[in-house]
Amino acid sequence: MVPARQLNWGEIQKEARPLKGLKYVQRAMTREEHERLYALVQNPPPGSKMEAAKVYGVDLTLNLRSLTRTPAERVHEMEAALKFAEELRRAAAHLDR
Amino acid sequence: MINFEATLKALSECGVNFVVIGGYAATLHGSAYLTRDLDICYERTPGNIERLVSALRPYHPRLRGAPEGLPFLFDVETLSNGMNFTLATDLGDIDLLGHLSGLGEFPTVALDAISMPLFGGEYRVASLDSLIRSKRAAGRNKDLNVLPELEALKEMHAQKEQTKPQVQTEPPQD
Repeated sequence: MVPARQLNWGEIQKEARPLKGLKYVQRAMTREEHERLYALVQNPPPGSKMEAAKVYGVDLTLNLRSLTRTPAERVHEMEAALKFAEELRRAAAHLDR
Repeated sequence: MINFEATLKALSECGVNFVVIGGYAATLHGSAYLTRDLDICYERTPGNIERLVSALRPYHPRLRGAPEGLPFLFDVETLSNGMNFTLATDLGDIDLLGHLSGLGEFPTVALDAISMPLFGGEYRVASLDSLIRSKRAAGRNKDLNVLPELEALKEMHAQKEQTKPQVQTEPPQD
């Protein structure tokens, strides 16, 4: 079992808070769900798609972290990463001049 | 990069029937891939095409990558006579898809879509199953490269749902 402090549980609960007043509600991942998924990501069952993805080179911990967030937060995180990548590209282009 | 929130709101305010597909849909389901453009599958009825034109025209859609000055009229007739369009707009890059490999057109895609709360509204997003079918059918390297992650995500979602909180019941008191 994964120690609770490694999961940073308080932060997860805060970030994955459900949206209110809408038909579809993003449910926060419970501690039990997170621990179970974390264990599966670390040691995917033989023959599973998770194992195949890991062998292919997919870092499933990124997906697991994403699943602790709401869909809107997932988009914001992706956009922030894109912005950062664009800034790096601009900086690199500036250096090439 | 697309202004995702503003685009969704613009489409929604004009009552456009559409489903978010492609990279943004994958991200919404938990994918870690980065994408720059928004792909939507739109309903190809005359009324919906008219609403789509009204929603995007203020953002000056033009053909992405086309040489400067190449005439392109973003109107009902153009959309009615075509099917899939790759556009650059003031909001960012948008792909309008009337037909999707492996899935077909809007009615089929919408039937299997998931309703997701986003930015105070609610939007149809292609299901993971649909995304997997579509990527597999497209068969290009860039689509096939995403398949292992999407299939693993589907398994992770299923595993998450399988874990139900244990209810402990106390033995009856005598």
